[in-house]
Amino acid sequence: MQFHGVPDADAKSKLSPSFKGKRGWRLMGLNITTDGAVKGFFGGNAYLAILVLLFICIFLLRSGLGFVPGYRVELGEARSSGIELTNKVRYELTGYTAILARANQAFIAEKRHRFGEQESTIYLYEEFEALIDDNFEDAIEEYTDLDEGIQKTATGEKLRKDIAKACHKIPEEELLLAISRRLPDLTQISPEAKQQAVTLAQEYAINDAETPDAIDEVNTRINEEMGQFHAVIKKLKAAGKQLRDLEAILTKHTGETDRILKLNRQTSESIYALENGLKKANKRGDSPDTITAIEQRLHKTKNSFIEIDTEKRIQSVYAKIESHDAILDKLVSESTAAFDLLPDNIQNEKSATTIAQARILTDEFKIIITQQKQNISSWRHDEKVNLLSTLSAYFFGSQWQTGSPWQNTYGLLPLLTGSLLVAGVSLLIAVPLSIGSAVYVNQFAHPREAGLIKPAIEFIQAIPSVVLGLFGVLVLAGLLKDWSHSPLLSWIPGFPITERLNVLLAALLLAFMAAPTIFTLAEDALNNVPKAFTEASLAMGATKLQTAIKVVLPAALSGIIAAIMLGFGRVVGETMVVLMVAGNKAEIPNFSEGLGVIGQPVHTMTSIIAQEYGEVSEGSLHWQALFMVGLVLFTISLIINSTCQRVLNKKSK
Amino acid sequence: MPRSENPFKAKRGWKQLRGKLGIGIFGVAAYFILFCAVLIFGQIAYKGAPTFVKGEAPFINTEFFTSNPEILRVWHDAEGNKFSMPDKEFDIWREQNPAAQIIAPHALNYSAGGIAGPLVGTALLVFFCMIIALFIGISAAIYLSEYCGRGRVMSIIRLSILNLAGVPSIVFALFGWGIFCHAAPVLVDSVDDRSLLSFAIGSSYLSFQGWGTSLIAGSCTLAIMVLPVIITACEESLRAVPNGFREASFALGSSQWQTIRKAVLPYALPGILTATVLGITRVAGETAPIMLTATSTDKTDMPMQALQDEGLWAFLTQSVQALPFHIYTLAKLPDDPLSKPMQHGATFAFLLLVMGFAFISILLRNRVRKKLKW
Amino acid sequence: MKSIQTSLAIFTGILLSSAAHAESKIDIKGSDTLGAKLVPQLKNAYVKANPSVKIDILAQGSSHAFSNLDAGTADIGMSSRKVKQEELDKFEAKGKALVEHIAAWDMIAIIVNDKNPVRKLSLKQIEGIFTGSISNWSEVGGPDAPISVYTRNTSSGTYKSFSKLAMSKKDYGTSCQKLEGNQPIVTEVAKNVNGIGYVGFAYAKGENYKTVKVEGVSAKVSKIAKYPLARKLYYYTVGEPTGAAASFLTWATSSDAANAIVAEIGFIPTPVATEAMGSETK
Repeated sequence: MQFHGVPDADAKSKLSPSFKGKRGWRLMGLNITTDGAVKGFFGGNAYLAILVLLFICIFLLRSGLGFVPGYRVELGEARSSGIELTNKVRYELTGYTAILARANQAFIAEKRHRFGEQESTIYLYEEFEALIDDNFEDAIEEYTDLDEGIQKTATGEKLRKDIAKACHKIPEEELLLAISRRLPDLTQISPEAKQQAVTLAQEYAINDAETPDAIDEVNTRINEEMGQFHAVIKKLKAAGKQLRDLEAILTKHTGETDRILKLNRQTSESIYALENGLKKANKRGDSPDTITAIEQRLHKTKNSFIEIDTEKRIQSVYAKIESHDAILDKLVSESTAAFDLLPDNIQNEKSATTIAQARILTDEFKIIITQQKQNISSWRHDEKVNLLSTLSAYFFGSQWQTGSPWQNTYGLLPLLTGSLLVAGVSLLIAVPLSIGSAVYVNQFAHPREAGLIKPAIEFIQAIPSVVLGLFGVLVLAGLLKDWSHSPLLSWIPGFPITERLNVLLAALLLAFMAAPTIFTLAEDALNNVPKAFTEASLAMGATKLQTAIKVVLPAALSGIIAAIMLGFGRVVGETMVVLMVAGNKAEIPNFSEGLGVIGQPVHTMTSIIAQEYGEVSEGSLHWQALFMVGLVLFTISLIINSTCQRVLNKKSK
Repeated sequence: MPRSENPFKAKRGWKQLRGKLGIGIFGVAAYFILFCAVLIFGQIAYKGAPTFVKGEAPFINTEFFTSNPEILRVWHDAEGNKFSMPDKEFDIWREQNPAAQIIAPHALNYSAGGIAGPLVGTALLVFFCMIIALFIGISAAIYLSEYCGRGRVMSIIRLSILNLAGVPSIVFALFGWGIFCHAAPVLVDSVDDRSLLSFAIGSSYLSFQGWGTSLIAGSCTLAIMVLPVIITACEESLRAVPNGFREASFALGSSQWQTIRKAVLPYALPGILTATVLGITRVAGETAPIMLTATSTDKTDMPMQALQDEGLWAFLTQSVQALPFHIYTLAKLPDDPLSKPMQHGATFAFLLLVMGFAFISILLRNRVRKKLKW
Repeated sequence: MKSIQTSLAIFTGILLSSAAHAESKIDIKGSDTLGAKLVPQLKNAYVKANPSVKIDILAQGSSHAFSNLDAGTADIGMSSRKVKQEELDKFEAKGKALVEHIAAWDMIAIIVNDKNPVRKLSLKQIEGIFTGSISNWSEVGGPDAPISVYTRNTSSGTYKSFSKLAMSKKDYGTSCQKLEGNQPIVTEVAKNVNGIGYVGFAYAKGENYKTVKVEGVSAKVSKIAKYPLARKLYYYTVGEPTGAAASFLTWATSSDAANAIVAEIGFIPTPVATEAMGSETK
């Protein structure tokens, strides 16, 4: 070893010692320089490659981790300005709005059930009215385009006649088609109602677009009959008014504080940048004009600081929030009272269930607000936002809301669950297929057959993801939606689906991408099972199937698990397919639907990067947030890969 | 019992049937995957092939591959006859038929012409990417396999390279976008404000302000993405050359470099070639990295024009169209039957291209496996 | 080490060969509303008349316009919204002026599926739907079915203009599906009976979907003064444009040929819009 010409040639080389010695011997003398250079060249490149790859990690880490302190500052601002508090009140309001919406839906369902006929008259009439209005608009457009004169009067007259004529002629079928969705049972509508609507509409057209009194009469009558229910809805709405007002006041006040804080932060950033620029300019010896210009700008920027007394502003927030508990109590008591007033004779089934839901929501709301009251009373604006809560706001935040006029929130959870859900479903599809085919090819297929199937499946791996995405958008999305409405497939959870772009669609395409990966690796794993196992099993009289399932598969299990994990890694990191077909809805999927969740659209970590990289400016918090998402993806794939490497290495030893 | 005289005779019974059935299920899985592949491929081919395959010789519509994407003009005349023609033809036609009536004209973007620009763009991206990746990758692989042993540090490095091979392309894209588009060094006359760092070199500055959305940024990003794959595959094929070759070469008195050049590389070459083609397959099909770093939706000139007009650096820092991104753009075209031929044609052409490389790589690999057995 | 030196030498060689940005080349980046249909066709017509000019277009959303103008990677930015104060601040902090050019007028049309009986919506209802507080069509006079909301992605200018014009600057609900470009929204709404979305005026007419009246006003050129969701589309440049970019902009914003293209695509050319506004105020 000591003869070695190049000192760092690896001493631990596993090459045979005699060979090494010889090499060293030969290298003494002339060859050192050329070989040294060559080695330097290769080594340089190797270290360059390693450095670049290392650099990736460092760059990602730096850009991503820069996010944490930045987000901490923003969260801190949200706290000291009171935005955080407003969000809490908003949360309550959202809850109440949901109850109100349910009650409203119930009311509408009941009204439609009871007064379907009158409603349909009104509805038909409104359809007519809209048609007539459209005709009017066109006519008026033409009319106004003409110059004053006989021609204009004539055209106007003619058009008016045309319109009047047109409304007699509106084909009834067209209207019935439009209404059929709203009132599925059209036969319930009496011909009289239809006739009445037509007559009223004609009246409307002839009387220069004045709503006939009959319509108002019908409306009044409906409201009278539904009076009690209607009163409940009104009461519910009124009960929420104070909370709405509180939220509005808080929004205005805290939003303003937050805006000023942000502006000041920007100002101080630009002051910093300008001061730097000034220093540089001085150092470079730029012309005095340039320097004065910079100085002037610096001066101007410094003046643009807005004086703000956060302490004073937040005190008034505290003053406003004092009434919060009372408002909530009043809201709860009033809405409970309103619900008690509900008529017992709700006829429509749908309406009854919706009301029941609203009642359940109200009970939940009551529980939530007791917590909320505590939350709000213990909330302090000057409490420091610590690192842990920043991290948890990122990793467990349930909202990814960027480009928001109110507050940008970076919550990874919707994206993470979306990614995992899509990947999970796709593996559910891909794993049985790919492992099945691996077992078939490895154990049962004729060698020639295997020689065809294997490369063919590997071939699939090369299909570019954007092609699959396009196929998904143009072809499969439509097909899947149509199939989901067929009664034969209604047993599949989530069917029939309403959204064309959804988890299942993305998962199907991704499964197709993951299958070859899993297949290849699983087949390798099966191949590595010693032949003796199989032979022993067959010799014991086991059938081929028994051998494959009970002997070979368990022996190759760790390799197969590694294959599945690598498939998972591939699917989680896929971008184009999910960007194009997963629906991009940044909300935590609604798991209460059980397996039906696969019919929902989701957003994923990869597609958020592809979708939002364009709007971020270099170094901003949003930019860092995206790098943080990249970092999470990076970590996931590293964990998966290194685990698999370990498993596979152990196997091969 | 005369029937049981031969114990090895195949039995027919429930058990046997069950065995066959079980095997059948596994077979179904394999053929189902292939069936799906054939279905997808067939669908794309069926819809896409008519765009550039003709019934007569030379069977290929060369125009599709030699012209840039164009606007398709659509209108109808007073009798309701529908017309559609590419923008250029339309101008000529309009001059020839000045009296023709044109009602309800509208234009469909990228629905006429061909895919020359995107095709050339992709070719350039892949070319530069492979040059960079192979240059660094093969040298690194030689160093790792010929000069280093299997020490602990080296095995950690190897493992990390292997791990990086599985990192999602969007992460590399993000990195390339952050570094090459926004922070790479460039020689400029005046430093831009957003430059991270700058040094004066003579009258100009070396400023770290990035290359912008450009060919070179895209190529570098793709190169880094594919580097781990290339290093791993090349090292593997170098290691597959038996040690005896090296020992024999040394025994004859050759230096290490001579040994590598004459006794190792030639035998590892098929393997390296396979790795190269595999790399090309992977790189050509990627969309996300070039979307972030290299592409433009629409471009007047072929990329080569910049080389003639403005020199090498302008050529490298121009944005290019690329086929995968063009397909992404086409996927967002209006749902008009007249846009479909381009959509499907471009997709099919792209699929053929990538699959062609994949096919070559599989062929090569199988040959290597068969031939080189020591 | 030699290798590194050589590669460095080659590298610097490449760098040194860098030429100044050619005068006749224009990089246009930004809004999809402008860049998907209008600008490629304007470019086409302009290049035909001026073959020496080269124009590259990248259209992925208005925010791209400002980030690229800031980065110096675009000569002209296309934007479907006015520049935000904070973006403007960024330019001002660097002593650059952002110059605004009106490209055309547009109306954001609210589209629903053809089979949906809803014909008109008030701004209040639209706000409710897009913020997520109205989640069932029956609440706005439609059938008893959940609403599927399709919006543009966040880098789109339409996304922001819409939030300003129709949602009193409130946040979008989390149940929105964010799609890349106007066309995907059209496709989804045309294929989903419960869908609602918004698109630029150029996309307002099509099969299987229809526009709804907003506050009783339909999206029509003559109604531009009354329509609540009308907006301007812009080109932005850093400083007054010079050279090729200047002549392209002048041509694109004022020539008859360009206006004809603007109208054909379905935007409203500035002269037409100002005339319509004028006749309304009379």
